[in-house]
Amino acid sequence: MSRLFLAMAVAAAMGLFIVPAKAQNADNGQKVYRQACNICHDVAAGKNRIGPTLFGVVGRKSGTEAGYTYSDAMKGSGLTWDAATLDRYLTDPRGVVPGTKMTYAGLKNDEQRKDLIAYLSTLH
Amino acid sequence: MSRISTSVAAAILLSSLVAFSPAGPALAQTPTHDIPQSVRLAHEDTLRQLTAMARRHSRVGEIARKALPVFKAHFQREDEYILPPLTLAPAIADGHVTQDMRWAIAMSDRIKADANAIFAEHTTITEWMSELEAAAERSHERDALEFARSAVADSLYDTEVTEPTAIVIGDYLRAKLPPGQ
Repeated sequence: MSRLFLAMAVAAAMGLFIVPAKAQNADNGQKVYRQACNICHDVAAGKNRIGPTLFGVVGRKSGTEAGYTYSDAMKGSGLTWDAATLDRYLTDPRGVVPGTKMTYAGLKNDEQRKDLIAYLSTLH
Repeated sequence: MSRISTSVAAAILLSSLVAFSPAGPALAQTPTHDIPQSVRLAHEDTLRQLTAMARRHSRVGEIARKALPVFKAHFQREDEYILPPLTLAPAIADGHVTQDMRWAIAMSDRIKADANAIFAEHTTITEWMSELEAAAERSHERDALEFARSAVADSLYDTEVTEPTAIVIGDYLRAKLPPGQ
């Protein structure tokens, strides 16, 4: 095997392992969303249901999606939904925002939570 | 009274005391007050639909069988002390407040005391409905999917409207009815 071929093989392998792995996290996250969030949350822009739309949630200030009636607790929480805050909130919603009306006990699986946040990050 | 009948009476009395313990969970007992007829019909319809789904030989049926007792327990709690105060709303809205409404104050206080347990029940219902929706989507059981979404919306309605309203009724009665009368 020539050096050039070896280098190409390594590069191809790295491509295979790096690019799809990132996409796969979000894909898994979409599955988690469908299983755990879809009952209350839509992902279309402006489409609020039982919960506010998750479109554009990453980076949004808490309690600010137009057209959704938030609890006082959420309105006053002063959070910004970055990855770290979402991670804490999704682990224990009522622990982070006592009085939130989101009836969800929390996503305890670290990997699923990470994948879900990766998926939410694609919704822009 | 014989020893047997005394012990039977004591057992009945004891079980009554346990059943009416204000700190305890909603236990099997006959509600002492009516609930709004509209909600009674809604509950009957919910249980009828869920029971029908529970007979299915599918994942939807399996989930419905697990969700059914959760709904029954929650409705029992609601029938016992969350919904009865709401029957007073029309009279209060008409400006009538009377001593015989005082029972609703204790129920309202119990809703406050049990808020975490009630919220936990809503959370469990949402989780089951989330599973039901996902299964219904996979198997194209449209009625189950709509049922799940509707049930979760009802749960949010209880959190946003029903339970706070019942508490407000109790607090209003406490303010309007002088103690000790």
